[in-house]
Amino acid sequence: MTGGGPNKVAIVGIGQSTLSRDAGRSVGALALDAVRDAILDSGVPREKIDGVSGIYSTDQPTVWPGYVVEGLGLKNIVWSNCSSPPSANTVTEGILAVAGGACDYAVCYHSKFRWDMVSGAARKDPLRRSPRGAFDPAMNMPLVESCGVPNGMFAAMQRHAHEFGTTREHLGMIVVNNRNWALENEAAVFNDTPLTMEDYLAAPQIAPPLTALDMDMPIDGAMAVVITTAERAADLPNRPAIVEASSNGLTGGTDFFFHAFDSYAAYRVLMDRLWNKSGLTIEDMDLVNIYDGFSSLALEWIEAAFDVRGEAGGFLEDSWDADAGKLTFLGRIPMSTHGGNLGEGRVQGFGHVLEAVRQLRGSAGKRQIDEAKLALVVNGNNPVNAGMILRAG
Amino acid sequence: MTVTWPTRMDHDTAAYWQGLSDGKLVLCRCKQCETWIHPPRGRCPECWSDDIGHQSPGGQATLYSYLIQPTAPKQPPEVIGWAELDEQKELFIVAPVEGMPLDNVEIGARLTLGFREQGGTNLPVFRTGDTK
Repeated sequence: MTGGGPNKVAIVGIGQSTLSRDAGRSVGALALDAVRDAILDSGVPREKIDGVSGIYSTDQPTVWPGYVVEGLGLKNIVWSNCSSPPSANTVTEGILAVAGGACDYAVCYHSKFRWDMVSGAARKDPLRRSPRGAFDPAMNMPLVESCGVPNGMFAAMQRHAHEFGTTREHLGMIVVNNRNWALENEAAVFNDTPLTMEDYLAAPQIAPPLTALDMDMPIDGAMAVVITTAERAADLPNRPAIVEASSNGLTGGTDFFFHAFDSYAAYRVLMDRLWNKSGLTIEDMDLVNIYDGFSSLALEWIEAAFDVRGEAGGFLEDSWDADAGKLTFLGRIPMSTHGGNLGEGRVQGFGHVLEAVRQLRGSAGKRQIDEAKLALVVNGNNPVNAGMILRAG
Repeated sequence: MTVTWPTRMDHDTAAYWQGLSDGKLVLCRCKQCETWIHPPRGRCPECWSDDIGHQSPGGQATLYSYLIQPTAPKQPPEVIGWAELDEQKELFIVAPVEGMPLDNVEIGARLTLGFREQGGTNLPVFRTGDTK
């Protein structure tokens, strides 16, 4: 019943920097903000932190664990890791390190920045020049460069619409749900920017059928968690979020460009592992925080989580409250109460982890769900993804 | 625009780029189990053999999905197709599709491979219809 090792593991601290279009701070300073806050929140003394976990990013540079160790004067690190994306992988790696006894208290972080490749506005800012070139671990980018580097995720959405009749209204339900929840999250970049379904449907399609509203908002921001064993968590001040299961899901076709249509198969592998490992089902969940780097990615995650492949459209319609502009699955399960990447801002899904911990602690303020005991968090896409089930300790 | 293709080449992709400079689409194909492999790889994902040969497909394909976007800065948008070659399920070439109106892209349309010169080499494109 653990993340894979002999020790039961818990998230005991959370922290984040400001989330904004221009923090006025470097990507490194943001990482230090989040890690410091997570350690302070956990109640673990600085000298007891002995593990550090970060990730490299799919498309843009971030800071490695050595930067954080030096920047916060952490002097007793016995385990460090810089893993594959997505952002939740920094957490799943930390879970395994603590479960296996490689370290006792791991801090896991991710830091995002509005680098110069993100937009024309960012290119005009001399403080936003990125330190290196394109990221291409699949080694295929030259093969599609003549097409202006086509985004396979968009083509996957076209195919989904063709096969299953998915419409812009269905994507709009995901977007508007997340934007409405962001109105209740004071840290969210879209905290004060309402969006209705009518607004969504009127937005120009910049990559049909997707609009800018379907894409997560680039921001300056970082987040972090502190992980230890459930046994040690009992001596710390916060109610722990116990890890019931964590997993990745990769399957045959994993290339962003040429095998863009295999995401569901990868998500299926991940979800089946979570359910089998935890002995739980989707009906046991009290909230689901679904990755939404693009709304179309959330669509297929919902299909995998609720076992409704090809039926996401009807499932969303059945879950949609038009008056509230929110989704409620199976009559009681909300999605991404912090606003997701689409509403809170793009820390590449790390916010989904932090919100699950807040809800399970009972510290989500006006967003708090009654009796939140179990949360599903899924993160990333094909071929880089991670998922976990957390339980209120 | 001046581009010299490819921007990067390795042991697996060299035959692909050499083929294009000769005006042909050359793909990897396993000599042991005859699986077509694209993008190019040094080992067969099906039978794990490293006996990888190179062949040209017939050039007939079906449009599986698409995007609409410019292929270069300051150029008008085009249909970028995922062309599923007749040789094998989900064997995709990603390339511009010529002759298909942007407001009436038809997934499932038949396509034929062609080439166009760009930045000093030939690059694959697809044109609508069967020619064979």
